[in-house]
Amino acid sequence: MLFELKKISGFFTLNFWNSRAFSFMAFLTIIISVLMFILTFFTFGSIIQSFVQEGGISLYLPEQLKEATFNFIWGNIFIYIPILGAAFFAAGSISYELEQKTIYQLLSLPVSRDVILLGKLISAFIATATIVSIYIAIQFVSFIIEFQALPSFNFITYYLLALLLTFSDVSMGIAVSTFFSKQSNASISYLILYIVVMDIVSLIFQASGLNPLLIKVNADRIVYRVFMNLDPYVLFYGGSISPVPIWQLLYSVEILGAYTGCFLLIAYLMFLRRGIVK
Amino acid sequence: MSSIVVKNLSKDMGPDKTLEIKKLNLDSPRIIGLLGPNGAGKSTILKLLSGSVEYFKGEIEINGINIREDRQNAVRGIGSLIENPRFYQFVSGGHLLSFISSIRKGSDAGIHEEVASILDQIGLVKKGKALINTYSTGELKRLSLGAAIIGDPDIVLLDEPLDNLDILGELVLDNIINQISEGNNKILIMASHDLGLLEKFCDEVIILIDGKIEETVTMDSGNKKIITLSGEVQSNLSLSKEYEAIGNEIIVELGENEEIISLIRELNSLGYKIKKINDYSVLKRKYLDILKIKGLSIHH
Repeated sequence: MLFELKKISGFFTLNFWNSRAFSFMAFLTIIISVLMFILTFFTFGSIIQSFVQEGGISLYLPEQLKEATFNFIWGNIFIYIPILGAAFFAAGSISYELEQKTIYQLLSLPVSRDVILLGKLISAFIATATIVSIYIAIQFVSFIIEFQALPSFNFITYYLLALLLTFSDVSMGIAVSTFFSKQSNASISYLILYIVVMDIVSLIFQASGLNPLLIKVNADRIVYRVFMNLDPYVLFYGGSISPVPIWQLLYSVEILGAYTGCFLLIAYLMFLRRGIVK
Repeated sequence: MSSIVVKNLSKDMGPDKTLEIKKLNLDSPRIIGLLGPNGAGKSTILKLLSGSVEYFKGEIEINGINIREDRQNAVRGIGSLIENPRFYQFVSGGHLLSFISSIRKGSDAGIHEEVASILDQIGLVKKGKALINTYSTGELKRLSLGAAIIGDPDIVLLDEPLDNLDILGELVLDNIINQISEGNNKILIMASHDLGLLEKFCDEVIILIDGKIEETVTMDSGNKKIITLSGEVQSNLSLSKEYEAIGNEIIVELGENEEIISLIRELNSLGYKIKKINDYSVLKRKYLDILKIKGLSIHH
C-alpha cells in the first residue's frame, strides 16, 4: 500500500508542480510577497503608527510589539494563499479526472480507492504547501531585513498553523471536488463557499449571539492571532495585542481539526461509498 | 489461461436503460469485438470489466477472481483504454507509462527498459520526455494504447481504438492487436463501430442492442463474395453458381480466381457490368438485419 501511495502522490504532485496553475500561483504569491515587503519595509513606520493609534496605544512601541505587528499584517494577507492554492489544486483534483475522463484509467489500476483518494489529498497538500512555504519564506527573510534579527518562537507556531490551515483548506477542496464533474465549477463553488457563504454564516452567528469561532473562516485566523490576538472580521471580539492564549489556540485548532475530519469524511463517502463513477 | 466469466450482470446506464448480461464466458486466446449503436452498453461493459465502475448487480470473475470480492487482484492483469482520456497534461508520456506500469506490477523493476520498449512500439520515442500537453490528438491516442498494454496485461480492453488515430496510429494498433493475438494467454475485447476493424481481427463479435446481447457472430465468411453490378439483378437470372440477390448485389461462394473470372464473363455476357467485388461480410449482414428488426435502421 505504501508503494502505491508513494507512486500516486508523487505522480500527481509532479503534475501539479509542472502545471501552469502552479506557476501562476507561485508568481502571484511572489508578487503579493514583494508588495508586502514594500509595504512593510518602506511604509511600515507610518502604517504601524496609524495601526496602533487606532487602538489607542503609545507611539513609542516596544520592539517586540513592532515585530508582532509586522507578522500580524503579513499573516492577514497570508490567509488567502492556501484558499487560492486549494481552489486550484484540491477543488479541481477529482473533478478534473471526470472532466478529462482519466478517472476510468485511474480507477482501473490495481489499487484501492482510499489509496487513490489519499494520494490525491497528499499531492494537493504538497502543491499548496509549497506555495504557502514560498510566502512564509519571503515573510521570514523580510522580517530579518526589517529587524536585523530572527523572529520569535511564535513564528514556528505560525508556520505549523499555516500548514494545518493548508491541510484543512485542501481537505475542503477535495470534498467540494467530489461533487462536480467540471474543474472550473468545483473551483468557483469552493471559492464562493469559502469567501461568501462562510462569511454570511459568520455574521448570522454573531447576530444570533452564537460563538463565531465555530465557523471555519474565523477559526482559520488563529494563524495570525499567534502574534496579536485581534480579529478585525469578528465584531465585538474581545481581543488584545498580546499573542492568543494557549487555550484559545487549542480551541481553534480543534475546530479546524473537526472541520478537516468532516471534509475528509464527505470526500470519502462521495468517492468511495456513493461511487464517484456510478 | 486467462478468463472472463460474467453471470446475471445488471447495471443501470441511465433513464430506462439497463445493461443485462445473463452469461458470458471468455477464455484465452480470444479476440472479441463489441458492436452496437450508441448507448447499447459497449463502453459500460468495458468499464465494468476494468473495475473502474463498481456498482452493479451480478458477478464478474477475472481469471477466477471475483471482482467484487478482490477488485485489486482481479484487475491486476487488465489493461484498458476507455473513453479517450486526455490524460495528465503536465507529466511526460514516459512518466505516465512508468507510473501505470509500476502500479500495475507493484514494483519498479525493469521499468525503464519496459517504458523504452513501449515508447518504441507506439512510435513516441522522441516525445517520451515531452509533457503530454504538447502531444497531438493522434499522439495522445497512441500514448493511450501504450498505457493499455504496458505491464503486459493478460486482458486488454479497448474502447473505440480507431478514434483519432492517424495512419501511423493504425499501424501501431495493428501491431498491438497482432502481438496480443500471438500470445496464448491473452484476451482482447474491442468495442468499435468500425466493422472493418472487427472483421479483420476478431474471432467473435458480440452485437449489443439496448444493453442486451442480441447475437454473437463467429467471424468465418468462408469464400463468399459480394459482387456489385451496374443494374438491378433480374429475378429469373440463371447463373452456373448458386447465388443470393439483393438489389444490384449478388452473394456467391467463389473459390479460385478462375471461378471469379468465369463468373465475371458470365455476368458480362448477360449484359451486367461489374462495379466491384468484395469479401462478403457476415457481420455487416447480421448487424444490419438486427438493426432492421429492432427498427433502428435508416429507411431509404
